[in-house]
Amino acid sequence: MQRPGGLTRREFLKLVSLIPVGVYSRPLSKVASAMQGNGPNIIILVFDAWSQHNTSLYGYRRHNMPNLERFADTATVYHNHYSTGSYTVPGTASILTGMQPWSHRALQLGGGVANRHAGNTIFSALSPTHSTLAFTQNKFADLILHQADADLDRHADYWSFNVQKTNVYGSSFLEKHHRTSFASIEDNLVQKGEGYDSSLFFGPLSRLYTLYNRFENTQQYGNDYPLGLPDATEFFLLPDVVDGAIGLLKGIQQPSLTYFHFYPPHEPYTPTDDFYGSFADGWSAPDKPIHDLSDKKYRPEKLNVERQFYDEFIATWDQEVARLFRYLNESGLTRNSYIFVTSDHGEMFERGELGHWTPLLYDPVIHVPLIVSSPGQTARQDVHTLTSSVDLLPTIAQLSGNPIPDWAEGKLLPGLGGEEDERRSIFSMDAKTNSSFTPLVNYSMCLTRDRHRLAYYCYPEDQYEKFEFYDLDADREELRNLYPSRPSLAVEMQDELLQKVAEVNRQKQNNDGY
Amino acid sequence: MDFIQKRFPRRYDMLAVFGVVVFVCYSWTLLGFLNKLSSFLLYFTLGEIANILAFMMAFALVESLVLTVILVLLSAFLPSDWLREGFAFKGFVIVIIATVTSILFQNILEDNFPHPLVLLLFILIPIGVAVALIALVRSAPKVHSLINNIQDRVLIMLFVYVPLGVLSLMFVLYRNLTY
Repeated sequence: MQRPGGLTRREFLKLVSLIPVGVYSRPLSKVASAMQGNGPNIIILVFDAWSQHNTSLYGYRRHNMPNLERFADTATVYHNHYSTGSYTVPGTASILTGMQPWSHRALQLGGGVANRHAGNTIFSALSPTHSTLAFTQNKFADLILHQADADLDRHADYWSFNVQKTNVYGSSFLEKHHRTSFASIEDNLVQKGEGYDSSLFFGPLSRLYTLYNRFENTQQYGNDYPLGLPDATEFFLLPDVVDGAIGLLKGIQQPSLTYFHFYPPHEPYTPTDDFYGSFADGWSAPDKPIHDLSDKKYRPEKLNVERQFYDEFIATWDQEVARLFRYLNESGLTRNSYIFVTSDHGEMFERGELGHWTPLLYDPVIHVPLIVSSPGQTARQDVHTLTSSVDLLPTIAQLSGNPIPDWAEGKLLPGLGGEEDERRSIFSMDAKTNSSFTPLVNYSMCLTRDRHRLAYYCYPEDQYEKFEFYDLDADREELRNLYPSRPSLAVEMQDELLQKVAEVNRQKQNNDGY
Repeated sequence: MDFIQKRFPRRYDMLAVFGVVVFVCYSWTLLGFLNKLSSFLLYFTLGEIANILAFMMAFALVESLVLTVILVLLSAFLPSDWLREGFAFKGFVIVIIATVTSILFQNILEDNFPHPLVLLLFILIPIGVAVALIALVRSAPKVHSLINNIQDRVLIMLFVYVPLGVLSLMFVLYRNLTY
C-alpha cells in the first residue's frame, strides 16, 4: 500500500531499523573524519600546583627539573604566564573553557562550570576534527571533565592508575550524575580524613576499610617514599601514572586532542628515596610578613622545610615524567604534535600560607609555567609578554584548524599566531566563598599589567577590604606595598579592576541563566 | 511457617526495631546534609540539592534495611533467649549503643588505620555495655516500659522517613537508569 509520504510500511520499517545503526555509528563517523584529517595532534600536560617560582627552567636556584629543561630546548618558553585562579577548580575550568572564572563560574571546591557553558570546552571546539581523550588524577578536575563527556571519545577514570582502589562513588552505578553523586557520597556519606560521616554505620566501616587498604599499600610500597606514598586522596605510584599515560597515548586515534592532568607536584609532597634530602642545602627563602588573611599563619621554619620537600617532589616528578617526554620523542609524536606543558595554579610558602588554599594572590600561587613544543621545533624560543591560561583554548583551536569559539575570552599566544601585547591586562581571582549564582561580593582579584600588580581583597562579610600594589621588576618578592602612596598607575589599575568587577556583576545581574 | 515463627522475632518487634534504626540513620544523615547545605547553596542549584538529598535519603533507607536485617538474622541464628525473646527492647539497646559507638569511632578516625587495640576496645566495650544494659532493663520493668513508650513514638517517624526514602530511591534509580 502506498502511503501519502511516498513510503510503504515495509520501507518505513526498514528505515526505522536503521536508527540504531545511525546512533551507534556516530563515534565511528568521527573516527573516519579524524582519519581523513591531517591536522596536528594537541597534547596538553598539566602538572597540578606547579609554581614557576620553584622551577629551575625559570631560574630557580634549586636545579630540580633538568629533564624539563631538555624538553624546553626545542620549545617555546613563556616566562609571564598566569593562571586565572589560585586552585584547581577555577584554574582547570579556565584551561578547559577558555573563560575567566567570573564567566565559567567554577569557583568553589566541588563546583562546576555553569550549566549554560558546560558544553563550551576545548573538546567541543576540536571534536569536529580531532579524536578526544582526557585523564586527570584530580577528583575535582575530573568533575569538570565529566561535564564535557559528550565531547570526549575517551575519558579515563581518575583512579585508573592508582594502587589504592577504594573510591565509593566511582565504583557505583550512581556515578552517572557525577557532581551530585560525588557531593552525596564521597563528600558527605563517607568522609575523607577527619570529620563525621553522614552515613552512620556504612560511613565509618567504609573509612576503616579505606584506611586498612592505605596501610597495606604503605607496607607494600612505602620503602621508596620516606614521606609517604603520593596521595591524590588515594595512593598512586609515579611510575604507574606515567606508564598509564604512555599506554593511553599509544591508543589515540590521530589527529587527537589529549588532555592529561597529573597530580604531582600537588601536596602531600612525597619525594622518593633518591631525592629525599637532596635539597637540604640550608637555604631559606626571604622572610615575609604574615598576611592578615592567612588562616594557619605557619612560621617561616615550617614553610622552608615544606618548600624543600616540594622542590624534592618536583625533582622526583621531573625524573619520572622524563619517560613521557622520551616516549613523545621516540614515537614521533613531537614531529606532528603541539605539546603544551603547564599548570592549573601555583603554590605558596610565604606570609603564613602553605599550599594554595588561600585567598591571597601573590605571584607564587598564580605564576605558572607554560612550555609549548611545536611540530618539528628545533630551537628554543622565549616569550616574555604576559599570557593567561584562557589563551590556551583559542590558540589550540586555531592551531588545529578549527574556528576560535565566540565564547573564548583569551588571546592567541605570541609565537603561536598571536602578537605580543605589552600593555595587556591579566586577571587572576579567588572567590571560593562567593556564590556561583550571584554577582561577585566576597572575592580576591588581582590585575597584572605593565610589570606591576594590583591586588584587591574584598571580604565585606569579614569587614576586610584592602588594596596592594607592587612593582614586579624592582620588587619581585612583592615585599613593598606601594599602594598607600597612591602612584598614578595604581589608581589607573584600581579603576580598571573595579570597572571589570562592575561589568561582570552587571552582566550577571542582567543574565540570570546559570 | 512454623520455622519462621520459631526462629524469627515477632513482626511487631521487628517493626519496632526497624523504627529505631530508621530514626537514627535518617536523622544522622539529615544532620550531615544540613551541615553541608550552606556550602552546597554556593554552587548547586536547588534541583541539584534536591538530587543530593534524594541520594542521601535513599542511602539511609538501604542502610536502615540492611542493619535491621542483620539484627533479625542474628536473632534467628543465636540462641533464642540471647536476642529473639524481647527483640524489641534488646534491639533498641543494641541500636542505641551502636549509634553512640559509631559516633565516637568516627571522632577518632583520622588519616591512619587505628591501632588494633583501639579497634578491639571499640568492639568489646560496646558489647559489654549492651549486655549489661539489657540485663539492667530486664530487671527494671519501669525502664522496660519507658523503652516501649519511646519505640511507640519513634514508630511514627516511619510514616515520614520511609516514604521519603522510597520516593528518593525511585527518583535516584529513575535518574540513573534513564540517563
